[in-house]
Amino acid sequence: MAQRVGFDDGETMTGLAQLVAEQESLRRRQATLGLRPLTPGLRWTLWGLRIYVLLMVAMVAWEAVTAH
Amino acid sequence: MRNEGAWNEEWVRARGRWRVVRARRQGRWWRVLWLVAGPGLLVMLGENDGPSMLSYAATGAQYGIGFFLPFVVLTFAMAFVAQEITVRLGAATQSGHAELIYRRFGRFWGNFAMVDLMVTNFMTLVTEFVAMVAGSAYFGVPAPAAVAVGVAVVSAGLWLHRYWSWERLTLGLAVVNLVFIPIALLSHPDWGAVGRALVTFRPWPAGGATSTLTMILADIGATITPWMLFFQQGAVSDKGLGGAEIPWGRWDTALGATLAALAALGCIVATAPLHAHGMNASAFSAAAFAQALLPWVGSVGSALFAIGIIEAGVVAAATISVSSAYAWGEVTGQAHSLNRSLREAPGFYAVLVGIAALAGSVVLIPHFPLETVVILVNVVAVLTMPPAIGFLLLLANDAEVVGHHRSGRLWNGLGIGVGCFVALAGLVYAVTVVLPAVTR
Repeated sequence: MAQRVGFDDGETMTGLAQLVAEQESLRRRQATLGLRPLTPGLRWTLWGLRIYVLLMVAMVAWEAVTAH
Repeated sequence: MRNEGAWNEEWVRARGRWRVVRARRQGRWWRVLWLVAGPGLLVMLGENDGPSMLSYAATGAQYGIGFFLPFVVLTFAMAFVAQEITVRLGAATQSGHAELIYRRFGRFWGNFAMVDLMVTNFMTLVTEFVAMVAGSAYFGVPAPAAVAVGVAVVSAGLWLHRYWSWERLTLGLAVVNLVFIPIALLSHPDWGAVGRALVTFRPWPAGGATSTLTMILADIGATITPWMLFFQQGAVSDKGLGGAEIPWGRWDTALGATLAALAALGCIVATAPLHAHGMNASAFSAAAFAQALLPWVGSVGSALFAIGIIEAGVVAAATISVSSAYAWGEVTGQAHSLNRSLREAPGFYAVLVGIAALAGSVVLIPHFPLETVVILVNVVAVLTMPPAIGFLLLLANDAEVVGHHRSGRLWNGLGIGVGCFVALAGLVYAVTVVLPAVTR
């Protein structure tokens, strides 16, 4: 692997190994995360934003269709 | 157990990061910036895309030098606020934006975000090819040839196999966006008026409220869009930037915002003579702008304008295609990195090239309502931003996700401000489109 990535001195290999381990550790930590609990307020906010997008896009699409 | 391709990908990232670590230890700060810079520059210069530059050109031609100069600077400041968060998310989690949304909010909400992204990405990609075709027409290049070259450039990742190489190639193209600055110089603007406008926001736009409002919102849509969030977080993660590089990523984003704002200002200033001489530019295409500017910027300036429009389309097509491919890979769990080969990540490259080829093909369909798509793309981009910013702020405040890199009060205040501004802008924009009589 060392030759493949283009480095072969000891310090560099140690540094690279540490960085790879750090990246792997971050990824493992993220992989163990579950769903975030949604409070009623948060759930309402998400639905509000979603309805906002759906309504607005529907209106704009309707306008585009009727204009032609 | 991870396969060899995944390990190789990690080692390639670690190698890039090791160079940054060494440069930092040696106190070579310019080299650190050179190594880290890329995602922020690309996302900001990439967002100066075909429809954005045409929007800025129309702004200069219809309103001249005045309110819109500082307003465009303000929109880039807002873009910086949103994009800074993606740097922290990408560096702190080594994960893409779509991946985090699915992981923390589940498939139901994740699917909505993906539909928003893919629809706006595809529509925007179509407009990028419209820009490439329009700019190429100035040089007499036929549309199929322009589309073929565009798809070929987007496909560069297929044979580069390295995020770093792809980033440097695309950055080299993105720098061409700065041609709008010399074009502005060639137009011999009144620098006193430019300086006064930047400080005072004056003169105010003259003309109808609806057209001014539409231009304001088009300029917002030209600067802040969902694909930027997905692209920069994916690029930061693919490049392998870590927590220690976040301040440098912030500088990268600020530099990108500054250069992109300068190019946008250059475009407005360059087309301001059309306003001063009372030319109606409301129906101008890219080639028409280049032709119309001939008396004020000369043949060199006109040709540069057409080249700038082509570049805007090509770079945006490359970055938007990559953002689509990142998101697809993150959601499906398939390999999704520019550090992989075609054999290792066939789905990633199929999405990257496929979506660009499909968008390019649409442009070649006779009588396809391209003008409608160009008009709608900014509307839809603005309308889909509020939920995207909502997820962004929630993730940036999720201590389990970002740890100590979570947003503080200042960034939260700024982020909420940007979200409210864009949501309000979307509402007003929709009202002007659906109920034009209200704002008449």
